[in-house]
Amino acid sequence: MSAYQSVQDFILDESFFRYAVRQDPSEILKWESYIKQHPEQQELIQHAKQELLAMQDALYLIDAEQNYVRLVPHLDPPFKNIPLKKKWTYYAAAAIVFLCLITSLYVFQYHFNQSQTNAYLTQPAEKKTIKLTDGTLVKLNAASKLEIADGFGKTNRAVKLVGEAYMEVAKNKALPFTVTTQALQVRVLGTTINVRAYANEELTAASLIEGSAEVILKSRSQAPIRLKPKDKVVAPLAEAQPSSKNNTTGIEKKSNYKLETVTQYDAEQRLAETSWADQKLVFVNEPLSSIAKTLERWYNITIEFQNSDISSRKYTAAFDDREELQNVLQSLRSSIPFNYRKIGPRSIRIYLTNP
Amino acid sequence: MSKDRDILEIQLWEALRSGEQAALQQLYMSYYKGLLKYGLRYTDDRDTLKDSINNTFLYFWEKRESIGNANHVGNYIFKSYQRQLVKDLNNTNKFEKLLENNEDTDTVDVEEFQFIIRQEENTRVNVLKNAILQLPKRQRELVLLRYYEGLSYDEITLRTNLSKRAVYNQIHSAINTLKKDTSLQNLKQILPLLILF
Repeated sequence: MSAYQSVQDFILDESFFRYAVRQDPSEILKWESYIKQHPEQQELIQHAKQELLAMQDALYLIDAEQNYVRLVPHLDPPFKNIPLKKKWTYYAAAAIVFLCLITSLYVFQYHFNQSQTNAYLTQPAEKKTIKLTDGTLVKLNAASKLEIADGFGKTNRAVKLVGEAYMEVAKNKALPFTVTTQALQVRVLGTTINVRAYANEELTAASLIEGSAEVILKSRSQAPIRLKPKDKVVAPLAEAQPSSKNNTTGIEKKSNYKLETVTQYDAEQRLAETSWADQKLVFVNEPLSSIAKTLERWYNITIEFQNSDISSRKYTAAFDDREELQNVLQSLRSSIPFNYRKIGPRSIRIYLTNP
Repeated sequence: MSKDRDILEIQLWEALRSGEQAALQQLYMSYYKGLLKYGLRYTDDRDTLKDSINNTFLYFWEKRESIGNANHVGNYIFKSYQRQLVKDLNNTNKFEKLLENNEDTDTVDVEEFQFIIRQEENTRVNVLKNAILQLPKRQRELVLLRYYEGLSYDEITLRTNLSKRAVYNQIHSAINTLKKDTSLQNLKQILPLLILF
């Protein structure tokens, strides 16, 4: 019986690493005789070897991309004078952090002095966790606004949202919790939901993580849509203001919303919809145009596209939200290539790779 | 090395000479591993080697209008890099060793170091790359030390102030995560491509 039972056992072994990657002569002898003794493991060993080599290449690739990023500022004439060791970035970062601190202090004090909190705001590149007076936990994504109605927690539990929020709603059967956005309203008793309703995005999405909830589309006079856990309603923002023609004829497009299922993006069944609340940036088969909007908010930049061919390409990727923008872009472009160029202090243009 | 590869590289070289940054980048990605591995023969100072690689490519970019057409792109890149190394390692007195060996630079087996990381072709490497980037910071650092710098568990223990057990456990769980994450993502990574074409 061998001590090695799985691919991982081999990968974790120091001596196997020296054999597969370093190709130490003494290790080669050792492992060749091991294979003779355990011919049944030959396939396993082959697989482990390939995995180790692929991992090597992946690590070289990561290193190459990170190092190339250091080179890029020197390639474009406008940025020629930046020294290789970029000490100034630390000062710039410190200045930004300081500014953010001052701003949030100001905002905090502003709310505090008002004695009644009416709205919570997040800036680009900022997330907030808020505990509402009824015990509901809200995580507010970047560049979002959550307005709390007067009498919240006493006569009603109504909030208004522009942007994206993840909410663990405290149970209270007497007072339903409602989230109103431009396109729809979500009514819940006690549950976890994620609502994404950015004003600059065409689609509004309400996902039910657990519990139960109803969605009322503002464009429809019909019965509310009942959601089961893991259901996701996607409705176009434009439907929020139906033309008067539509109203008079009474014809409603049945397809003006879609009932989907939330997207699990990894083996632990984590959800793409709420990944931002776990400090992740996850995109599953998402067009680059939509990814760009998320990046704009999170990195506080603007992204423009040279043409729509490229913005409609779909990407699947996941990152830590503390990952540097350059690494995110590098990683995306490595699955379907594109080029990007800094065209201003906080703006980037994405264009096609020349064939 | 295949003929196609040579032709592709000559095309890339021409594109670089006409000012295409994307071509510079492709060549950079293709040769990075080889150049770094070659440099590691002479010094363990990876930071210096990385600077030398960047200086080499910066030279190509700045002199793109005057550099010649290279029939053997790989040889040209390696020669330039060697010159750069001699310059950059000068201060660290490692360069004498390099000069000693310099007689056989003409016979350096470039192919031994040539390695193309053509990203669009090597999906498995890309999937692994993304998964590694997603590991928690601590685990990613340990994976780098173990599998990139090739340190033993004992050496990592010395460097990180973690116990050997902790180092092993962290790497063990990183490897498990990579296995889990990449078996699923493999499919998801390919799907969008299939839809596109």
